[in-house]
Amino acid sequence: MNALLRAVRRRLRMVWAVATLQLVAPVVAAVAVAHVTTGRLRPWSWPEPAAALAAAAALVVVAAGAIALRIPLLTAARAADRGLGTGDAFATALEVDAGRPGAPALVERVRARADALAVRRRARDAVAVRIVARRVAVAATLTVVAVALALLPNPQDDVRARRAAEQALADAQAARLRTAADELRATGDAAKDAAAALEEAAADLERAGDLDDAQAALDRAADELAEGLSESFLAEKAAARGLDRSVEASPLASGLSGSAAEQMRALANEVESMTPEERAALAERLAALAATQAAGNPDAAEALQDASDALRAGDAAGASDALAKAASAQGAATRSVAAQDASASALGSLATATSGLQSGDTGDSGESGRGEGEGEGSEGSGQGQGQGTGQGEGEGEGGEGDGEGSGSGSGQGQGAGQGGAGGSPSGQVSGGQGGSGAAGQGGTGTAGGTATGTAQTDHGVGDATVVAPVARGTDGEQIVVPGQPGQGPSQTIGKQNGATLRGSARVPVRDALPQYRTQASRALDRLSLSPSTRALVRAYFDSLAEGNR
Amino acid sequence: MADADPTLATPEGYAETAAAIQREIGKVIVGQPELVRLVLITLLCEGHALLEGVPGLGKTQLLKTLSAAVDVEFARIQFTPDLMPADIVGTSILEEDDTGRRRFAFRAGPVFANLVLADEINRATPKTQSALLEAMQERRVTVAGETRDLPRPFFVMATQNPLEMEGTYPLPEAQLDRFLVKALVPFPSAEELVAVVERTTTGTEASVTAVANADALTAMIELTRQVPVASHLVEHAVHLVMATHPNGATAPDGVKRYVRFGASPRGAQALVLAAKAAALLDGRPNVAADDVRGLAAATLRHRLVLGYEAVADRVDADHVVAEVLDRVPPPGPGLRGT
Repeated sequence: MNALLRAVRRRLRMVWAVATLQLVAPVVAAVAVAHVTTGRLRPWSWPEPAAALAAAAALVVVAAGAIALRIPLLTAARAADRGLGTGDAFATALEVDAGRPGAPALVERVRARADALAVRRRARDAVAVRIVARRVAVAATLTVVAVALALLPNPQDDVRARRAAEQALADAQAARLRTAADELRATGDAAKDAAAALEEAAADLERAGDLDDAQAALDRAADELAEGLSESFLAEKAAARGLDRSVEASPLASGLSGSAAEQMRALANEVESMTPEERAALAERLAALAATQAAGNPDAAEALQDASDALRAGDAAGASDALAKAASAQGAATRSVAAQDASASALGSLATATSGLQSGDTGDSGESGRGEGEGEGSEGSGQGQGQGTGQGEGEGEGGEGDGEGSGSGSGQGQGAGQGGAGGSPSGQVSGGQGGSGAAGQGGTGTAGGTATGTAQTDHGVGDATVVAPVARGTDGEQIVVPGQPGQGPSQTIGKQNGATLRGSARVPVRDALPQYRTQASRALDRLSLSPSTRALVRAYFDSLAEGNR
Repeated sequence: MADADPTLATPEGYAETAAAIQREIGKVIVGQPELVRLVLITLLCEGHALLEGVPGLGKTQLLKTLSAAVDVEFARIQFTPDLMPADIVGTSILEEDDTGRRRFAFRAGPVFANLVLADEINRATPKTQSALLEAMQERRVTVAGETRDLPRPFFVMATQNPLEMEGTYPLPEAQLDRFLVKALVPFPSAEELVAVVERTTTGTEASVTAVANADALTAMIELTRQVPVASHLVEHAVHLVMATHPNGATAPDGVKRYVRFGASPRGAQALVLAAKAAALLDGRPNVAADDVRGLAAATLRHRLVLGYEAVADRVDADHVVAEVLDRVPPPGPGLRGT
């Protein structure tokens, strides 16, 4: 009897599971239909997986419930009694075994009768699986609808793909930022804060829901980094490094070497022993150095001038003290410049990431672009073609240029460029051919500050960050116009055509850079730009100056 | 006549003896197997039965035959309006012995028999009817301040005619509650009626043999009470009784509408006890749910107090009990899907 009752108990679990599934299935199927329908109305990526997950979860929960369901043997006995028509023999037998009162003769017969009734009986005969046709039909219908909706082409698929691409793009830029942070951290302790800021920005990028969020994260990081940059950073940097280079090339005294601070610190101890001629020569040199530090490092300039004056006055002790102060000031300036330099470098990385976001650059190797262009003279124009949406305009001084972009597919792009020296130097130019005249004289169609054409492209970009405001090339240069995020994956292939003048376009960037900086500074003063943007522009020109030094 | 036999303490002996009694009754009573079975169940539960039916259906004959089939002391009381309580329980009379000394001596009434037939009980006055109350419940009577035990076993089999209400006194609820079952005596079928006519018009009388005596009945009664019954069946009996109460949570609409008062706890007791006897009569050592449900009408119908709506709608207690049975399904495992 017990074997039969155990089999009945297993059967009861299955029957319970089937009944529960019949109860739950219509609800789950309805939820699935709702999810799949939502997935067709909204560009969310989770509805279909959520529908499948709900169905799977329902199955798992019901199965787990059936396994965990506590079914006493007495319950199985009742079920067997009902199903097999044994007149409650099994349940009574279990109860008399458990001590329920009864005449001994009857109790023995109850047990014997139950055992006899259990012979050759099957659990499936005791408990039948009941199928509620209506529930099953409803669940099946809803399931078919859900599957059909899931399999049919979804108008939201394109949007989802774009969002996935955006997320991939943000992740790629985050990876770049982490790499840049690692490189920065390797340069020394001075770059520690800047590296941390990049790491934080990378994390924000990875959490960003879309490109707007990603861009906002980058902007925040740039603002924070820009706060650490001094208004006179370039002057400070030029002063500190110039002083170092000067004394490294021509030591303050014979036998001295190392940085300016080290030489001044050593010299402070040797002033006493110097000859009057040596002191006079040193005074002369220190005065000259003081003059170079007046703008970038006033403290060092003052100390150097004091040392020079003291030497001329024959005050060796005063000269020694002043030299020590100068050494200290130079050391502090060097550290400050290093930290700001790291911040500037980090800002550059952020700018690259921003550009990558806008251009769709995932960091993969790019393809060479196609383009046409010719230029001569100081004026030019460019055209760009791209997909996506976005608009941008730019103006320049010293030349004129404009660009256009035409979209195809789902979006439109328009690019506007700056021509000549007035072009804001944030454009990207890729491709090795074609192009306009150099030195901003030729319209490039690219350099616009907000030039667009939404540029979701890999063509001709790669990792390259072109910092020259004007591309130099021959006919057929491709212009990639970074733009604001548009709709749909796209690529921008710029084509530049424009009449330009020959001559000034051939001027080397090194020669034109001071003019560019001047124009940029004027533009910064004139335009309503955020501090971070100003810092970004300054950092950009710093990098140009550094590279051309 | 069968003596008290140890085999009567076994289900097989029990069933065999009961079958013998039924066979003897069957020699006289044509058909009506359910009625005979119900009376036998009452007998084996040592309960009291109320038989209700129109005149001429053999109610009295059934009980007379039963008394012949079991060798116990039998008494018949014909209830009439002028019947006095003392006519039932007995009385003390003044007697004079051989020495001329006078003293009161108790003259036992017919209630001191083992099997008492209270014929047309609703014709006696309530005062007389109540004389049976103590005897039926306590199995003893008090006469002239002295309490006397009744013999064991003790059964009261009462009959009443539902048609002739003129000059009758319906039994009070308290007294009805003391009957284990109320059996409705059906009109026989045509075939049965033919057999009845043939048996009663030929001038020959069937010879009924006593197949059990008081000891045998006592042993069978004891065995009846020891039949194992599963707890869920007891609960099922209780649920049935609870469903007859109009204020009960499980009361069906028919109960709420037609019943003023539901069955008493004695109803549940009677239901389970009668089910035990039914199981043994079927040769089973344990009670089944069908035993309980099959006896619900007989054990509960006279315990329901119906309201005037029932009378107006011509709804009887059996209809209400059937609705209760529909509402309270047989006990199952209680799991989803079963």
